Amino acid sequence: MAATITREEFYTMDDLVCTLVEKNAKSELIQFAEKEEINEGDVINHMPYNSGLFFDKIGSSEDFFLKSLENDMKFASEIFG
Amino acid sequence: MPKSLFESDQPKYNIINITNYLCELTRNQYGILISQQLRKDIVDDVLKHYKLHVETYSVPVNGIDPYKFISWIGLNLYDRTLNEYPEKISDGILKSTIIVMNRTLVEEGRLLPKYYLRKLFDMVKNDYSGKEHLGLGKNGLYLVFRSASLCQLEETKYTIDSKDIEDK
Repeated sequence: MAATITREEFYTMDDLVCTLVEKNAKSELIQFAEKEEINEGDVINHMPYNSGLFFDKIGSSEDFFLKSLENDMKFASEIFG
Repeated sequence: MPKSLFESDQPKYNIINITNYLCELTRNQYGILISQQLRKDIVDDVLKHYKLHVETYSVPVNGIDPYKFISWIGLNLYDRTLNEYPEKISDGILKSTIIVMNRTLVEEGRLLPKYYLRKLFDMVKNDYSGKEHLGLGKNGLYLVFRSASLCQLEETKYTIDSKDIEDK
């Protein structure tokens, strides 16, 4: 089945910025760890490179978004019926 | 002055793209429309939880961990819909969450057995149906995928001679 997307319901940069402004006012933003704050052996929270590329492509190409949805829909049917 | 994670745009784009992908998969596969306002409310909740988590466990953050984010977005939605809508709605959300987490792992060149994907679904459901002793927990879901993502193979530094074992 062909996938479609509902642009009108998309979560947007404006939505996120609005949330971040509120959080900033309440000092509730997640802090970025500078090099000197990272100890040897720490597991740093980050976006893995390849996953990052995938999600960037989702955001920049509607075709890629739709094709990925179709692949995952097929896989979801295979796993969960 | 501490620097915020969101001084750079990359984590913001990651959050937006992950959220929309999960919601659109849920709509396409299970016919569940998640409104823009609900997407906004959930991201708000998850960012609050994310901050609490990294402070509690002193986690250094350089970017958005997709496994935490997808898992917490999905479970937040699951929790919100569980008692309000028919079970197939919340089930669809949970299934989509697991599929998007799996997709992220596949992009890293790693795989979980298919059987485990179904088992994760059953275990999370137990968490929310009074069978916590058979469940996984809110953090267990992300930790499964994150651990698989970080897993490394190393050669053992010792050798066991089968003859030694037989002798004993």
